[in-house]
Amino acid sequence: MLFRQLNDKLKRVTITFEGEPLNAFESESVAACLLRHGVRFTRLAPSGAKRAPYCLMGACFECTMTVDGRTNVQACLTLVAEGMTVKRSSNI
Amino acid sequence: MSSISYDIAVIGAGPAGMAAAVQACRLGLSVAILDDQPAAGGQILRGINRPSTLNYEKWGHPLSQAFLASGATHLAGAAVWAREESRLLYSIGGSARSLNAHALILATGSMERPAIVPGNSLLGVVTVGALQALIKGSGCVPEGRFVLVGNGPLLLLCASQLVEAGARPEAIIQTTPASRFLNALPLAIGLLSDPKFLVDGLRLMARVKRLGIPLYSGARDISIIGRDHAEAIQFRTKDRTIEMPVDLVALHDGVVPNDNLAVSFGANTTWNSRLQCYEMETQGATKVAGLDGVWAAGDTVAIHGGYQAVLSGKLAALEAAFSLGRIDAKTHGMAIRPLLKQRKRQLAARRFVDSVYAPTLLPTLASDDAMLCRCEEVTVGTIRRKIEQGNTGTRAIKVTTRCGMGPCQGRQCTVSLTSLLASELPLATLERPSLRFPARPITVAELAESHKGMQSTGSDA
Repeated sequence: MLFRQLNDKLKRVTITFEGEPLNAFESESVAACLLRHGVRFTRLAPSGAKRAPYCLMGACFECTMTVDGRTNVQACLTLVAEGMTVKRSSNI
Repeated sequence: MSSISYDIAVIGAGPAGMAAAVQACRLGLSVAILDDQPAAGGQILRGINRPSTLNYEKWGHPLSQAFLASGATHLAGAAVWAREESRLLYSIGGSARSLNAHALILATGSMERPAIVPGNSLLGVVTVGALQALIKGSGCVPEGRFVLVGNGPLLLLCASQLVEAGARPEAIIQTTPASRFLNALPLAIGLLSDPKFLVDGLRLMARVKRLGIPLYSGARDISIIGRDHAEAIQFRTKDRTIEMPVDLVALHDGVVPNDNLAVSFGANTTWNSRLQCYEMETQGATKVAGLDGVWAAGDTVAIHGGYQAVLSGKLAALEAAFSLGRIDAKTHGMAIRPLLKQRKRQLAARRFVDSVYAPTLLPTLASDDAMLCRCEEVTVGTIRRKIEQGNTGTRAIKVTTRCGMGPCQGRQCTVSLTSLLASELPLATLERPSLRFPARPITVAELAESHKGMQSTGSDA
């Protein structure tokens, strides 16, 4: 695991990533939550190279995923919510 | 689709946008402020309203409080994707909406300049701004062995914030050449016109020194090594080659205007070869040249920093209000005069910093294997070969390599591509690649929804 949450008193919620439940803290972004859980990649580049959240401010689009069925959602601009389902894009 | 009308729409809720909204509300105008982040603050004031023990940008609190009390309609999570005359089209949570505004103020801030070094697209490589965004926005800090690499005040600022939060970098690897400080000395006099800026800088340098983080200066030939994931960083400093094992590398080489939306709306930008970035063409400080009813404030115009963003946000609101006939010439003149004076002083102080922290991780200095366009995996070498084959314009290169045609729509690579072309081809036609509708990736459903109830079929899209 490469990241940790500083404030563990935050309210906890559960999201689902690729079918697996993940603990999340209210007010953290989906990208932050995935990084904290050691999710290694969020997207594949055209060659198949793995890519992960890079800029965390909405400019690089490396964290675009499918959230609650919506495609091309930038995980760094999206806050976690109870019951949210997150998947990698279906073209992976 | 029915649209609510406002006097002014502001895009971007960072310091410039918040200041513009507060000023416009005080003048009695109705204001909508659209921002793609979940909360106001932009990048520098990210998380400003978040209950946290980590409070970095104290100067932002009065602004943020005034913004909350201003009465402006804050549309959080709103991604703007088109402008049709006075109508703005945007989506929140995948659902298309629109609003009308008599005046528009663009305050989309800055983004980090892409750092072009070999290994920059490996897993385990992020930007320094990303680490800062993770602390401020999500309360997350890295674990394991990580280094901060590059150039600019943010490197030291972020290092001290990380240590304060209990995450200690293995090293700070600074790529700022030592000669820069000496060369910039003639500009140092400008710092005296903005003592607060100077004091902030000196305090920060002293604080980082006290932390005792190993600091390498004048580093060059940066290279990140690993198969899929960053495993080590290699660099040269003082005629030594150093290789350090790492789990995470954070890169930074200053910031550039985040102006894609403005350009897609038709704003003109010119290449500034000294700063190696585009700057927006304006009449006076804030009126966007050639676009009726559109003003711009803050770093989206040119990199002038957070304090200046507040000033230019106020100026843009005053100019827009005057243009809409909501304040008279006397009120307008009296309000803008002190702001313009203060602006001149602050800009004088910036010249020293701009000169010392001019970019260092440019594609021109990188080896062929460094990634220039992340989305379409176009390396510096591929672009160099295209130039050798006689491609002289950004458009020709875009068409033959797909550079800038991936999901980020050129946000990351345009500045690097122009940088490389400008250096290898002095006479190149430095035409900026055009940005087409929509300014953000949207679904067909969103597009259809935005045209509901309209005569137009939307076939021009």
